[in-house]
Amino acid sequence: MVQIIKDKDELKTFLKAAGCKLVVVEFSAKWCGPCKRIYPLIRAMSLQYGNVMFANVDVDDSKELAQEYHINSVPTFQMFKQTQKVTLFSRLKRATCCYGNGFVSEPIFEFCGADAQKLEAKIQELM
Amino acid sequence: MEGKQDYDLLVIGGGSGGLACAKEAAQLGKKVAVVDYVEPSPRGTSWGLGGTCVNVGCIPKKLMHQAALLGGMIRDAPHYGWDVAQPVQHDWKKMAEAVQNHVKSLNWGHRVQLQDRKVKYFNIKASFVNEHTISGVTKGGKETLLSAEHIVIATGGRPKYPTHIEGALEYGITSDDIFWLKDSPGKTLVVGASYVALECAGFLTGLGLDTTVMMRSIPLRGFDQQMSSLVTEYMASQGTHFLKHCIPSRVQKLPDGQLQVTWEDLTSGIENVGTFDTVLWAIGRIPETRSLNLENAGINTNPNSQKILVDAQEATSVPHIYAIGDVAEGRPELTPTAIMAGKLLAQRLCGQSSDVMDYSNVPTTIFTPLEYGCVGLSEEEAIAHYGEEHVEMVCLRKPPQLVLGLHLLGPNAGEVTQGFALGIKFGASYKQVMQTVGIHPTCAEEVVKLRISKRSGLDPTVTGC
Repeated sequence: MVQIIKDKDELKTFLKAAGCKLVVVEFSAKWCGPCKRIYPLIRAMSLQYGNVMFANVDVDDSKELAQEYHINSVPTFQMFKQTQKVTLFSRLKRATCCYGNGFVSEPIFEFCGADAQKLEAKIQELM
Repeated sequence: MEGKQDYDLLVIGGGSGGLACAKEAAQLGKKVAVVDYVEPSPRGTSWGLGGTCVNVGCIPKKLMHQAALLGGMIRDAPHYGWDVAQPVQHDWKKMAEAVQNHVKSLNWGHRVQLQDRKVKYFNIKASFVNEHTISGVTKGGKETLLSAEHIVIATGGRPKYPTHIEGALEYGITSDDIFWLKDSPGKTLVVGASYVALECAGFLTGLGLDTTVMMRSIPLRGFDQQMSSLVTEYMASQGTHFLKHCIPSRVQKLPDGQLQVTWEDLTSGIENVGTFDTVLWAIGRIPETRSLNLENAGINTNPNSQKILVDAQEATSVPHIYAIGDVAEGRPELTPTAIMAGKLLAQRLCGQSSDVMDYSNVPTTIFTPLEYGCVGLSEEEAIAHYGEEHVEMVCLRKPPQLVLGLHLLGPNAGEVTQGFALGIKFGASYKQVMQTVGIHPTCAEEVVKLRISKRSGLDPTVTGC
């Protein structure tokens, strides 16, 4: 299931609810051809990877959110996890992350373009 | 004026001129804001950032023109050996969606560019409070006040409605609507003789729709008339119906939803009636100045055209307020001139340059089925300026026979004319044209092979190589 996110508050709530799970947010647009093509693949991934949360933000419906996350092209995939960056420190922290109460608002990874294989590979790596 | 303003530069209008000016100024270090607002058309059509060109002008027009040309190519294809089933059907819905998606991607692109250059963008309807302040109102009615050191007005224009014609406003559409129609316009009556009228009628016909153009007098007023009649003749040969010397008097809606148009044939004085699915008014454009409250800033306009009066620096009657693009008096209504004027203005405002925009020898192209590209003077203008005895083939008779204008009718006229515009802008003579070797086989080579003058009375038709 891909959650539609409309604004900053909804994103905050979604990220918080994700806990330690990997969150994949796709920034897309209705007029974007590649976005349409990759949509069924994302939906399939959301059903396949139960421990990964998927969300979608429409850059026209949610202009402020798209601007805040510096979206320049569509589709752009941003991934979030409780840890800020994937460093040695954060890997150690991950072992204890579920006990922390911090929530992250910066993506740990981002890429642009409708490359489903690249997306899936990254998800498997980070989840 | 003393005191800190919100912005160094405020641009009113996010179209070709406005965005170019704003981005250039921001790049040169100024604090810039752009306010853009689209008042929905009487039919309710609205669009995003980018102005007329991007949303309801050049871009969707060229795409639909291309769609129509492709239809012609598909029909020709079997002669070149392609196995293409005939006749081939056109799906307006599919084309419209693709065109609209492309336009929306351009709206997005412009928004991103403004963000990247740190230009603040407000989707608000602006009007002047005083010479340094505007009041902007959102769609929801919220008001903001913005002040700036310099203000550039680039609000462009909108299509004119013949409001004196009964039913015109209620039942007709304009170029603001045609590119956003989800369903095919069907059998269409295009009223007007402008390039907007002819370009629209041209692609509608090319897409297979029953299209009629109603003109009061001459086609393409202001353009070379010999070329203009060649344009309409070609369109007629392709199936566009022409009602010449006719003026509409009434539009009524029939029970089945179709439109009944009544018109007067000026030659015979007889009143005629016709039925259409769509009536497209293309009778001219008016500048978007009415709701700006220009008088609050003391900005003068031409009382006839309502366009803003400007000098060579693009300055209005108020020194720190400028106007560029379609809204300014005496300027060509073209995207590239608005863009260049906007950039030069920004450079002057930032002290980077003292160059002013040169509006002479601006090339342009009308994208009718057979395209008409031109640069420089028309035959009529050349004769008016220099006198009949001095003009030959739109170049001066006196050696070195400076080329005054070039007019070209043919496929890809825009692509061809662009190159020649360079030569003409920098004073090419007919002698130099003759010395230029042509590229064979092309249509463009005919320009450098021109040897027959109109005055000679000889037949210029090309038969062999």
